[in-house]
Amino acid sequence: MEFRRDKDILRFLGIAVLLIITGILMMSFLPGLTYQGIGFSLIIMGLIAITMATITSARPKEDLIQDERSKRIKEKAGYHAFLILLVTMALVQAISMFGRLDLDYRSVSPNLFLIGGWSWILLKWYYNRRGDVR
Amino acid sequence: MVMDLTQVVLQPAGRRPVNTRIKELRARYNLTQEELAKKVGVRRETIVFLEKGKYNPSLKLAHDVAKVLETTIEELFIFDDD
Repeated sequence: MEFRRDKDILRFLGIAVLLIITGILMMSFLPGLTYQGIGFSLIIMGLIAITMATITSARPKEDLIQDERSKRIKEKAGYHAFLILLVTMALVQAISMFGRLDLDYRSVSPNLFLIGGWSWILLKWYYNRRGDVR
Repeated sequence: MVMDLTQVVLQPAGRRPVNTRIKELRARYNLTQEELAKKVGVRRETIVFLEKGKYNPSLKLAHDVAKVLETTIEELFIFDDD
């Protein structure tokens, strides 16, 4: 298996490393559970980005052209991921208002970001597999 | 003859199944899916989904594919109600 080493891949890897370093610095120097959570999320995102860059570099460049279909998929997945994020935020708000669980945005914000990010990735995969994008 | 427009049932364009003659015409010109994709400037996956009738392209993409295969959009895409 051959891996491409073009500018885009190297830039993506650079961003991934930057995310990991920022995450480690946050966890080391900033006190509080919120910063620990955000730092940990950044490290996880960086690791995911490195994995994605490795997988992408193994694919031919022609497979990665941004054509109208892939743009539509991204837009649709982004829109739906945003809706999921909003609904989740509304649920957290409702639980903290009416429920007995002691939830607040500060403590769950890293998880909300993860939910939004993962929804986007999974929806992109699903729409890409399904074919049509309406 | 006057057409009774109350009898016409319109469906959203994106939801109509599309049959295409892309595969047939591609074979005529001896083009692979990858070559056609390169000529049109899209991913090979897009050509695969177009051939399967699982993707409704934009007018521009339909025009580009028709141009490469030296045909018209009407010849290339067949809607079920045609």
